[in-house]
Amino acid sequence: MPKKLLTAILSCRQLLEKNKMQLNQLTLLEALDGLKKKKFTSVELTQACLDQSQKFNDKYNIYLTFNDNAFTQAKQADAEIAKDPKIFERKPLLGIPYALKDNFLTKDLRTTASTKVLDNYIPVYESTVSTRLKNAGAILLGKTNMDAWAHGSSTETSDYGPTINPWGEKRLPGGSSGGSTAAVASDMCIFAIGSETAGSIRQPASWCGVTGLKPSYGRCSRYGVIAMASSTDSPGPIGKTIKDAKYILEIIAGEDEYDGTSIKEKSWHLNSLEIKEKIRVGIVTDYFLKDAEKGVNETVLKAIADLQKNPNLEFTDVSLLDPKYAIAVYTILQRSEVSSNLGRFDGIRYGNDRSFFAKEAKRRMMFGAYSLSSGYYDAYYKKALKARTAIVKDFEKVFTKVDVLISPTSPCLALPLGATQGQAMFGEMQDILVEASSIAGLPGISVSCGFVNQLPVGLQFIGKMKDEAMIIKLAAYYQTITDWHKQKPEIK
Amino acid sequence: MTKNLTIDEVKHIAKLLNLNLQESEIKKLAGELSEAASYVEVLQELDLDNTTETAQVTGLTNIFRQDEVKSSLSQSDALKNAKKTFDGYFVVPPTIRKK
Repeated sequence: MPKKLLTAILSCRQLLEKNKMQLNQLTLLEALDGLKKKKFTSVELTQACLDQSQKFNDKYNIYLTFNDNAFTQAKQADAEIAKDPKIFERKPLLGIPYALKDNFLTKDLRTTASTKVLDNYIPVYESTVSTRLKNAGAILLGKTNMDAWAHGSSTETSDYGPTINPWGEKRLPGGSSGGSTAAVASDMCIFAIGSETAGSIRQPASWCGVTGLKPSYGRCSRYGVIAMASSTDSPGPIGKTIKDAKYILEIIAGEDEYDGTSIKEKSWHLNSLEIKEKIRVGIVTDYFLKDAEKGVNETVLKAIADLQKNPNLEFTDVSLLDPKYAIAVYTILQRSEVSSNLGRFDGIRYGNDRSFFAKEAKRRMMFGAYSLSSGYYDAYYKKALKARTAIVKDFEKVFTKVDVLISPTSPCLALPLGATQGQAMFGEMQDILVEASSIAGLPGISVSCGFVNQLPVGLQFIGKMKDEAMIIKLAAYYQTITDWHKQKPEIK
Repeated sequence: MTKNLTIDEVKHIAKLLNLNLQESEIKKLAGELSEAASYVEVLQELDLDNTTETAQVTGLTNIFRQDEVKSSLSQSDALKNAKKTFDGYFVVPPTIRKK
């Protein structure tokens, strides 16, 4: 057969394969391209996501509340696209349906943070992150399940029942942004938004096999996000690829007059993903735990071996403070901030009264109030603030030798339903490899790097403060040489 | 520094937090809080005497804005989620009762 004909047949076949793909399975950049070229409409794209959600939401318990106006907004988006071909320059997410973690306030749409305290709460204002997405033309599909108040790493402590991991019917998705990562993994949206205090984007991204980007603290505004630990809370994107996550970050990042802790840079952009310069990559040896689940460390080492083929990447082993100190610091600081932040929920101005708090929130508030109380403040809270300095300095020191750090995201695979029962420190043990960088406010990414027992393994990149560019470039390179991120679970 | 929390201590903390706990919860929490306290014990291993404290990591200080009046929530929006209102006010539980 002549070569030309063969190529023609092959490309024809590829096209057919592509057509078989459902619209809801598209990445954000593919969906945008399709909308721009008028291959399909926003109504069709939104409908595909809603169809998938309608079919499977009862089983996977991903969305708590749907946005009844999504369809109307998609129609409006289509009208705008038809009218003005240059509209995407002003509205870079026009017509793209997305899922939002339920701790972001959405005006006139129920927001619960998965707690019965806020069971009937209808916000009267909108979070900065969702405002920016709305202004960019994105269409909110609904609000996703999470650990109640974001207290946890499983989505099992939700007052509305656990979310099921699309990769295993009896598995947890991780958390606290487990609803958002499961929404992306199950193609119930084109992208999702989560928030991380210590691991809540990266760890569920790892367990659900999607790309989770936790920006530097202050990169994305916390305004309108129901506060957990205010000194580490960081909103961020969850996508099907790192290129998608980067695209979203460019829209939601930037100084906000409503958040005094936001980084004083008007916007954030990364123009080229190419690795042109030599990059020193530090392999965090302490994060390959001896008692990690079988296969996790080996899978991550294989991913590192794949990366080593790039001559611009120089790898060295580095050592960080034992993660057990980060667990201790985080336990004290997070609970202290929680006890203060949850003090405002009195059921008078909105929500239900304090008898509606479930046991995890009570446990955390109690320990926080204890560590802040007279006689214990110096021994607990003050000591933790000092140890936080030690952790920050530890990273500063290692970043004089390397430009970026690499390790597993989670020492284990998605755990079975029920794993949190009777585990007072469950979240901290799951987040052991992400807590230190959160305490220091550093940016981090988790990308899928393989499977063990049909469950995804997460590869983690940690960057210097405000250096999202470096970790995004590395993750993007990894996703060009592998296709683990393209693997999809069988949803049924 | 760690010790097991007593029932009275747990009751005291619950009072600070305005939480009404059942006796069974109090007993359980005493155990769980003591366990959490044992996890943070490791900080004693670090020499932190000459270390300063870090409360936030942005390096930002004194973030102010001009003292200008800007639009904010309307009265009806502010009251929208309240269970009890009266004459444009929130109704709060009594804090002082007659004996």
